Amino acid sequence: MTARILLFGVAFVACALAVAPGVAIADEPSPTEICDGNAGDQLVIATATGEQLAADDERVELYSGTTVFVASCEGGEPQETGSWSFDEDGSEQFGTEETEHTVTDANSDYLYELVVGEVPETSDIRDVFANTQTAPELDVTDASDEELPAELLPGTEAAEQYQTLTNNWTDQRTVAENHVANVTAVATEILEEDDQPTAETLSEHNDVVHEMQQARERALANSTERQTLLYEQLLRPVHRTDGDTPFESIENEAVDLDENVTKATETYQEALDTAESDARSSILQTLGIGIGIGTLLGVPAGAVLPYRRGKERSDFYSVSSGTAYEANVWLLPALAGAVLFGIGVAVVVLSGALGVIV
Amino acid sequence: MSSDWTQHAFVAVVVAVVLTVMVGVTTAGAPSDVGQSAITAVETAENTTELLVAGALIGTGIGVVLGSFGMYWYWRRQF
Repeated sequence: MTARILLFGVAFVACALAVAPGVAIADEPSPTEICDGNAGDQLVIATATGEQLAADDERVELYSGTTVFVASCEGGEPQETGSWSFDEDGSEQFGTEETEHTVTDANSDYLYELVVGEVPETSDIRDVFANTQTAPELDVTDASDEELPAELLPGTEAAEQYQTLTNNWTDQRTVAENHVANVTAVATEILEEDDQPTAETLSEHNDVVHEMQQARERALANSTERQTLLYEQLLRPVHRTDGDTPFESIENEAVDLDENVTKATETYQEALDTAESDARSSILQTLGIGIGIGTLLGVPAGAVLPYRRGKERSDFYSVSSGTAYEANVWLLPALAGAVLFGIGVAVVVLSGALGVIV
Repeated sequence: MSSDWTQHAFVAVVVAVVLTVMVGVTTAGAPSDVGQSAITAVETAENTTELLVAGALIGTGIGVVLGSFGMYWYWRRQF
């Protein structure tokens, strides 16, 4: 189960890393398509996938670090960027005192790539493009204090879900690591101490190992869930660029935890093997003592009847040769001996000792 | 007549013992839970009295068979 989750995680990260750069440097949207649906608008803000966020006089809320594309349209046709003029003599930094956006040439004659500024103040695109009379207004929210991955926008349901999962991960990892420490200490004690553990204490230790493995399963499932969440957000048209992309760190943390749990389990299994081996030796030793004592008692007991019959025949033989000495003189006590042997074996079988020895 | 009955009974007991051992070995599979086999082994080892009695019974049985046959064999050689 663990191996399957890890395999899925590795495959997932591989897919995510393969897709992530593609999204991060996504193709620019088609200005023709953007303007085609906005015949009456002059300026349109769109995502990398061409989804319109806002047009003239509209207001849109964006988080700082978000990358959008600005198209200038006239009569439903895109206008070349060469005809646009910037507010500050061609500088690439634009904005009011409160807001600063970075405009980057998107290698297009019809689009500008705009990285939304970091100061959380309202501004509009008029500040950026001086010759535009109508333009969308941006509500910029600062996300620099958010400890969120770049794929997540603060305040969204996904961000809350991620935060909850991250908190759960911290708890689950703490629980699992505590169990790892306990299991390792117990295993070391069993391996180093001469005293054999009791079945009751072993049962308690087994419960702890079981809880440790369950904690690992929960933590690894949490890692997979967080990566899935980020991956889904990565595919959304708008995401921030001012945060980390923690796919690798999530995976590394999960792998570290998995390795620690596996190592503790192996150490404990080694201790269990030692305890089982000691128990097997103890069983054989006890049975051997019983067999030795029983044999010492059984040999003279079994010899009594044949001896008496033999003695009788020996005494009688001196007078007559007519008395026979037949095999039944030993078969009768041998039958009793076989019954005792059978009962003894049955006790060994029923006690479970045979299963342990074999 | 008596000798035949004793021989048949002896063979029957031996067969019963062999069958008991075979059933015991067959049903004594390894426990499926991790660590359960160690617990079973330790639990069994803790039943010292039961193991001693079982061993004593087995030993007595072996001893009785050996002692009776040995004495029988001794007298047979004497006659």
